[in-house]
Amino acid sequence: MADNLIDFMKQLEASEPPQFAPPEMRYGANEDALTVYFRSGESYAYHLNKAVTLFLSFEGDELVGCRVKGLRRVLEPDGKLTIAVHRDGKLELGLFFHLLAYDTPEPEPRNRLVELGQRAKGMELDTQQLALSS
Amino acid sequence: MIFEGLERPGQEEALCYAGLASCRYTNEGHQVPAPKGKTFVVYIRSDDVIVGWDWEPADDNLTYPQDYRERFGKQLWPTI
Repeated sequence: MADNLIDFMKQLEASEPPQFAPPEMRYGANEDALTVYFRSGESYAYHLNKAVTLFLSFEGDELVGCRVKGLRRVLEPDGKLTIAVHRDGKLELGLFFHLLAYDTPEPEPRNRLVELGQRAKGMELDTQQLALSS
Repeated sequence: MIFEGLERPGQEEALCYAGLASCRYTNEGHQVPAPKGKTFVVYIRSDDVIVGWDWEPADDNLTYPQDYRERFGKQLWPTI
């Protein structure tokens, strides 16, 4: 492990970049955040609401990926979402985003959540990572 | 500028540094102009760990992140 930032930067430059073959997703238990990339490409972050941040392409604002912050918190308040999307130990991401859309009255964020649901169709997260209480 | 508090549980003391960067780097490492209408942000936990960084849409003044009044607890610097 590097002792300082300069050494860390040198290590980064000398190492091979990690393999990246979207669609990919990663759940970080410490930050309780799910990050999903549907495709590669440079992007910026757009805060859709308190829970969901979109990654949009610099050119054309096309959907590249997203991050769900506080995933356990999103799922647990009343258990409804958990029952609907948590099946056989898997969280069905497409359905999860569609249900978030259903719960969002404003057109612009709702349309983006529907788009997320379509793009995430078939993607599943092992809920053992979440340690949901319900 | 520096904001404190990310308006979610456990992140009340986290910081957000935001500012205009002079350029950005592509995934291939090429230097290109900074994207128009975007500001660069870095998020730092209360234990001084950087947890994220991104280009984000800027407010009308082209420096503050969009919706900064709703997203952050208070502005630490410059003081207002």
